[in-house]
Amino acid sequence: MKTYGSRRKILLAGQPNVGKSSLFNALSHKYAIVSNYPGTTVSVSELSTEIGVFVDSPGIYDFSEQGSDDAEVTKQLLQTADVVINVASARTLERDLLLTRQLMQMNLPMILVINQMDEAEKNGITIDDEKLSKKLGLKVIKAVAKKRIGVTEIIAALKNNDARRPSARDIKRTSAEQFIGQLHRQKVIIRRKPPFGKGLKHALDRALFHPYAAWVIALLILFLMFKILGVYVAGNIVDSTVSFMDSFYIPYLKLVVSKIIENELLQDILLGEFGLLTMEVKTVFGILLPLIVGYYVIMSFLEDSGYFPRLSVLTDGALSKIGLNGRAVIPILLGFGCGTMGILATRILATKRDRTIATAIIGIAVPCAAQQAIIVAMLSYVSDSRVWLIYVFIMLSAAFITGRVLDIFLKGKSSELLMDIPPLQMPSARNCVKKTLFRAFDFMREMIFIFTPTCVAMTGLNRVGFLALAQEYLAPVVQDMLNLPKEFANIFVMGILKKDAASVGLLDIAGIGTTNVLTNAQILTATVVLSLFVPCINALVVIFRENGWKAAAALWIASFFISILVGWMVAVGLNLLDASYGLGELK
Amino acid sequence: MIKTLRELSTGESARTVGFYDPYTENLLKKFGLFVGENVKCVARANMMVIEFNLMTVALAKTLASKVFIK
Repeated sequence: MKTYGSRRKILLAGQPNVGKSSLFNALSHKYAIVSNYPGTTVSVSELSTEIGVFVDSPGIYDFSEQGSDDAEVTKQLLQTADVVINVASARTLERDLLLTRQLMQMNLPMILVINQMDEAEKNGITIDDEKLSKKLGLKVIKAVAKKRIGVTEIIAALKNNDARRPSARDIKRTSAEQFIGQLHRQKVIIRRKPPFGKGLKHALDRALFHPYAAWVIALLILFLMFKILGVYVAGNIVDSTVSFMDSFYIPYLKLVVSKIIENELLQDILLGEFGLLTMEVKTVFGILLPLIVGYYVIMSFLEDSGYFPRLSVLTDGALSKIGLNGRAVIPILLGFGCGTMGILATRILATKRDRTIATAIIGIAVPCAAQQAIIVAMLSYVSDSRVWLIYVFIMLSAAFITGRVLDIFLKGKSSELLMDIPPLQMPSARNCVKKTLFRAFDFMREMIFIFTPTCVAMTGLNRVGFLALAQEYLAPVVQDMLNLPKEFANIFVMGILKKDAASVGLLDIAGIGTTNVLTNAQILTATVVLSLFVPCINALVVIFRENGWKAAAALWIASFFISILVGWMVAVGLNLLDASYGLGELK
Repeated sequence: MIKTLRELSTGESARTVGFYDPYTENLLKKFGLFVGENVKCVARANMMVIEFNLMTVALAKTLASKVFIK
């Protein structure tokens, strides 16, 4: 038997959205993100336990998927696996068993876990696991992973070495139709209800597919998100945390720390303009964290409800104009949470071409959750809705033009939409909380590893006079082209490393809520430039890893020039509008 | 009368009788759509949304035109 370190490697393999990650969580007590759309798992998770190393793999439909990274990853994982837990869904068992037949050809010790038994029972599906076990020559276990039902049996089977090499490998000789026909005739699977759903949930589902009602619902959800994040979280919670930091935490901290630490350099690093205890703590805990948590709660709810795949259907027409299909809406939406997450999720797209276009759109025109928070805060101080409309129009245009240009110049054609739509379900509060905490922790870790050195570097650059020099050299761009104050050059420098945190600096420069030094036109220009500015360093690393250095470099350079070009156009345009409509005088 | 899945109107149902080519057949089998399946059109826009065996699948119209139904 092959070993993985000193323990055997137990691979969880199966089709997308059958509950592999839920089972992985139940077996390993580790948390891998679980959502209600196919393709949630885009990378391999593993955890060592006393029975072996559990490995969660991305879902695949079959091993013949051409150009599928996931199929390749699973094939490679299978080469080193000692035991395979093939996870299938009871709801779609006939289909899932086609992959089981392929896995059986690999002649590895295997257990078949039929997950989501609760859904099958609700839908009148009966599965005779003993007959199926006999037919396939495999150990078959029924489970409901999210409720930990069947987990004890799986662990016992692993401990007792019940995973065996399939004894019915010749099953592949029958065609898929014949095989499924046998399953029904021999009453292995009995479907008692008609194949089409009914009831209230079904009616809501129909509304989400209706060409008009679905748009109304989508706009309603957007409006609610704006109300919750923009008005309640940004307006109430963040205002309170910032005012606490400004009036209590920072002054007292400065008083105490400056008495303990006398070294001027250290004081500057900890308490200065880019201080780790002042600026970083205020940015991360006072501003970004509440907004990020609020955003992730809403996203988790929508992900788990099964709304995302329905949005794919709704946006398919619009996305087909830029060389994508509706499926691309999932990585783009995740990109609104975090660019890195969105770029990784482009793996669910069928072709490299689709992945390149979606990555470019995320890298250029999709502001992450932290940035959106600052954008909402900045634009909320402009009491004219025209500013919002102009901003949304510019960002949509940037996304459209990016996609259109790439669609024209990239070789090949976009893939056709073919997507599994999971059933609508009531999100589990427990999973939403777990997922939010998991992502918030990831955000904090990223902040500590990237923002902390960025703050120290900014303090160093400030002390050696580099920032003053940058302000001077960038003045023709910042002041003359963009009509912004020279301090905006600092945002450019910091934005190269951590764009979301740099956005917070914009609030300070603008004096939002205090001195209000920027005009409305300048607020809009600054917001647009920062939204389109280069992807932050961690997103760039992921683009490099996923698409190669040429794509990463091209995207970085393109977004740098696009942000300045569009910013300049906005500044000039607003100047003209100002003369005609008084847009700059709205404050 | 045999027609293609693309011609199915919203709310209509039919039985699949064949596929245009083996590529389409293999592609749709992965999603559980076989010959003899009862399918219902749930929505039609730029693509089609069909329901069968309590599963819902969205597919491009070009693909739908390669599925024969009766």
